[in-house]
Amino acid sequence: MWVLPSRWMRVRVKVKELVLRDFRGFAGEHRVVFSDGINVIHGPVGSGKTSIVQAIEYALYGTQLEVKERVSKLVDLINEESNSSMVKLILSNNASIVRELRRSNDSARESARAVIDSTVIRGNNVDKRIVEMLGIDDDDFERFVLVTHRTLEALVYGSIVKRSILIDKLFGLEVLDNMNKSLPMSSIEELINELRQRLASIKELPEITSKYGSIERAREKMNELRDEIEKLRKEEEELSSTYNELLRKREELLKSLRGVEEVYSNYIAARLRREGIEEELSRSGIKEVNETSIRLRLERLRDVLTEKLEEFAMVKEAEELGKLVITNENLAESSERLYTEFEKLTRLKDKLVEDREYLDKVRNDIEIQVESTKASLRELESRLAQEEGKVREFRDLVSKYGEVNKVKRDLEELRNRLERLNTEEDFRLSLLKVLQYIVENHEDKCPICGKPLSDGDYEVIRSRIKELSRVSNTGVMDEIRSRISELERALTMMESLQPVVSDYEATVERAREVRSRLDALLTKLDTIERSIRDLDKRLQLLTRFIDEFRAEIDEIDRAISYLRRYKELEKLREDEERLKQQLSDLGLDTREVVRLEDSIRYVDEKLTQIRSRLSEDSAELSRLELILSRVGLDKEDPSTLRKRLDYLENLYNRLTRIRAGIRDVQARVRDEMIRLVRDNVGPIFKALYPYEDLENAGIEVTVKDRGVIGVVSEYTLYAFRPGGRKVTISRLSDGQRLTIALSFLLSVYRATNHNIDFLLMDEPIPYVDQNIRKAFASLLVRLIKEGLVGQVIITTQSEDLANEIVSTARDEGVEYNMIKLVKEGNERRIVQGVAE
Amino acid sequence: MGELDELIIRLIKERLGDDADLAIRLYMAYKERGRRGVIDVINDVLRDVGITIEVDEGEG
Repeated sequence: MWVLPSRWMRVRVKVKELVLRDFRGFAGEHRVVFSDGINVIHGPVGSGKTSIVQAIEYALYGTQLEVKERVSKLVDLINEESNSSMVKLILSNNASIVRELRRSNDSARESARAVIDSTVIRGNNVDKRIVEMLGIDDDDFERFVLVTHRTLEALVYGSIVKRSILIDKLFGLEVLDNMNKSLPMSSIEELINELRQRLASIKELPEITSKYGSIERAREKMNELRDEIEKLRKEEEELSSTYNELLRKREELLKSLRGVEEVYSNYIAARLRREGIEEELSRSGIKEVNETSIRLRLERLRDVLTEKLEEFAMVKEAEELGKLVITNENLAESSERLYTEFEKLTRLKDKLVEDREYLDKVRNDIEIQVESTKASLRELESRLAQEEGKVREFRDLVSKYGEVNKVKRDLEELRNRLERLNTEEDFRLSLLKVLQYIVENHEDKCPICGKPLSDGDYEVIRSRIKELSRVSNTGVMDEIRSRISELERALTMMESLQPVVSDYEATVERAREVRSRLDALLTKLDTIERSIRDLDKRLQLLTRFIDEFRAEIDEIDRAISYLRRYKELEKLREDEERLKQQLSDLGLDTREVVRLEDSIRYVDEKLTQIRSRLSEDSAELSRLELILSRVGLDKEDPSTLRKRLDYLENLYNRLTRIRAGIRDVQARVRDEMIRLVRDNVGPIFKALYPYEDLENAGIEVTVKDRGVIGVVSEYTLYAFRPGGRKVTISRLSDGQRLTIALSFLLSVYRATNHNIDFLLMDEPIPYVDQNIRKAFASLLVRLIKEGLVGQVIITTQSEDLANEIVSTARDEGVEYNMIKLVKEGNERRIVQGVAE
Repeated sequence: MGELDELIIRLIKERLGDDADLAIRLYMAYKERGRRGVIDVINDVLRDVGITIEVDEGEG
């Protein structure tokens, strides 16, 4: 993507003509024609030299000048006397760009038109097409096409820091840096903090209301706190001053007596300790502690504890404790030993409490089971009561007809009998009909078997008819039918009642089982309740014992502790007296010392109290101020605030990563640029510098981590003496420096692949002596002569420099053009082609 | 887009992974509209949670 000679050969553009109308200081229309080679724009301060440079830049990049803050407002480009202005720029490839500005209140509206490759372009496309045509945007143009005195000054005379900042800009790193600086990190941080505070306030507001009663009351409290803090600060100030005064007095006192400091501080320490113990003992109300009385009390405790351990089956512990011999000398150890054994009892109590809790739980479980069993029983009994009527009905049927199977058997039998009787009856009636037929029709033979009938047969037949007519089963059969019908009804009834009866019987069985289970549960419950009662009793006794024992042993411990204090006090009094005597021997008035120390201590205590109150009051005030400042503002749901906070924190982290990443990118771009520039700067330097004392130039970079400022790069430009010795730019002559600086600028200019073939120099070296003028003029001429750039447009207020450039160009046969700007009052004129 | 921009964008993509899109948006916005452009991109990102940042932010 970087410089390739073949691409460098393509057609590149120069500036051909500029037309201005009512642009900045130029009222009316003005025309500037540029030639190839060197164009010197010369005029006094305020004659409009920079305006011409700016007009070229504006024509090329339009509103970007305002966006990038190169002009504060576009409207400033319009001549004060006019409401509109126009700039027309014609380039060497015949492309033309026209931009017009119209004043609109405090701003300006731009309309742009361009003709590029014979195509007319208007509006928003103009900027894009110009960048495509030139191959660089406004940032690149500012970087290496427009050269100001700041650029050369920094490169030629600047410190390492100043030069490095400029080179970073030339390398395009400044854009990345500015982008990083434009990230609104502190705004986001403020928003994050504000949201955090709001969330915290929302959480704390109810607490404040409950603490002070109301918001109004909290506000009153806030004012009270402010007054109190003010008052406390004054007190603190006064006391601090008194305290310092006292310390100074003590210092003076000690200074007057060298060697006394150690005795003095020992005396003060002994006295303070003694007073502390006395105060403690006085507060406790104990006047005297008797060792024997403590021993007797401990012995009594040992005996009762031994008894209690035995009572609770802790035989081994009881036995061991019984052997403890208590004397006036081992009171503390004995007390400790008693306490250790006593703790075993407290652990036993804890265990009993656990057992009690367990039994309670078991009792509750059983009670629940009892209740549930009772409920089941009630349900079964209710069911039995419901079914009882039907069961009774069934049993009545059984007692009347027998069991269901018997009824079925009886029915079977009766049906069989009825069937038999039916058959017999049918036969009797059929035979009777046949016999009656024979008699009525006087048949000779039997109509069935054909046997001839005699009178005797007739007699028998008549007798048989009488007999058959007399004997009938109808009555018996009716009885059987009635019985069958009765049994069938009973059976139907019994069968319908049978399931109820079966269920009833099963329910009776279940009820019996449930009742038996209930009885067992009630027995168990009773046992557990008895156990709980026993346990409670033991616990009660043990607890009472523990409480009494603990109170007693604690009191004995206190007494032992006071005993120790009294012994210490006695020793301290002796020490104090001895030290007092020593001080007195050393010539120090202990009464004065005591008074002074008392005062210091008193003031110190007061100061501590006041500072503590100040700290508390200030903390409370800050909290109240913070919370109350948000009262009424937060109508938003805390979850929305939380979501917003998470989002912002996430964005903040992303931007932090981006900032770090951009810094890395900067470093890599820097490396790339250094590589390219290093390749170019030597050959360019050789082309521009024809003398033999220097033969090459180069650039080096050191990247340094400057902590809070971040990572900074420091560049060094240097030249090589014949033989390869390196000489830094600061040790070279002005002319040599200028040559290196321009070589470096041109190497950046050529490192990017673009289509521009001109350099715009706006007062590149404003205040120069004769040597510099000559060197610079010579350099410009060589730039053109060596074909490094096709056109230079340079502005200068120095007539000497202008003449020097023209004269050198003429001597070297380089094309040049002098443009003179004239300022007459507010009027400015452009005079073309004037050369000395 | 100039050659330097292309180089920078390539390096941003290589270096910043998931954050590269936002970084490139910020870079291009800065190139086109300066600080205003950067703030506009941030405000666009913050639109979802209803937050706006003022334009006159600048940090050294």
